Amino acid sequence: MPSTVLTAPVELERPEADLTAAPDTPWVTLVWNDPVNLMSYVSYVFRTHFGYSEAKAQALMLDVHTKGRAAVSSGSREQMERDVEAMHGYGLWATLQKDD
Amino acid sequence: MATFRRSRNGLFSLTLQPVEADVLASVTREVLELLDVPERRVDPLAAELGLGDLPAFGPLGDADGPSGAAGPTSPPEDEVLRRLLPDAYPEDPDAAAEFRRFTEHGLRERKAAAARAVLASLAPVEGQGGRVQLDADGARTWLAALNDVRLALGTRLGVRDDDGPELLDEDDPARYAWAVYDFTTHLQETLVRSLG
Repeated sequence: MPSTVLTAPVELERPEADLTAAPDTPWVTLVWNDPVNLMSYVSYVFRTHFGYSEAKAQALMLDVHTKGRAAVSSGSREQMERDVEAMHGYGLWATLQKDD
Repeated sequence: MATFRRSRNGLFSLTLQPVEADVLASVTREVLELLDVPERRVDPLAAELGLGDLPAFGPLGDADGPSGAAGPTSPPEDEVLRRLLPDAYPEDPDAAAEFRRFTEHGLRERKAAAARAVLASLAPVEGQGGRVQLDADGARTWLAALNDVRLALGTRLGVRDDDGPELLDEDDPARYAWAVYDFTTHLQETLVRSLG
């Protein structure tokens, strides 16, 4: 992603810390780093689609950017398919898989 | 360079030079053509009743057309389309095929609808420039469409990292594509900032 100026320091939170998947919801939506998508846009999508706070959306976006991918949601396979389809609608590169 | 601003009336406003309007319309039209979604037949009665914009899927969908459930099962050959319509299960070809069969048509239709909405708002300023004003829904539609345009250009240009292109000769046709890419990046960046 092209760099943009991040105005506020962001407390990094690891997605696995707050996306504690229950045993019956073992699927995750992954968003992958992409050289085209703007950091500001990715963060905007996380806020608007998932309703995440600015801080959480920024942290997830930075995870995508620096680690190459981040788990952005977890739940049933059907829910994750809906999230992945929505991410593709926004133009984000998303996949789903069993949480391991 | 044309910049999105949020005006006092809450609208999102963009003033385009003639060449900017034309370039933006042209590249949006290219993405629309690539998506290859036939324009839906509009039921005149539904249109009169204001029902013209029902979702593309559901009982009113055309079972033989793009709205039907039986979509393609393999990824598009074109690299841009593969980026716009990626595999959902990279390590499970069967699941990826099944997902694609049920989602790809709808996704193409939504992307095409967004591109058409951008073209409709550009129509009055094409060839002459001028101001485009969008409400919040229009702004969100533009944001997604601009992203698709940037993904298409970025894929064709082989954008791989945060850096710009190697120094290109003045007559290299990629210079023009890079300029358009930078322009659409600026538009998207200022629009997403205006949306807050």
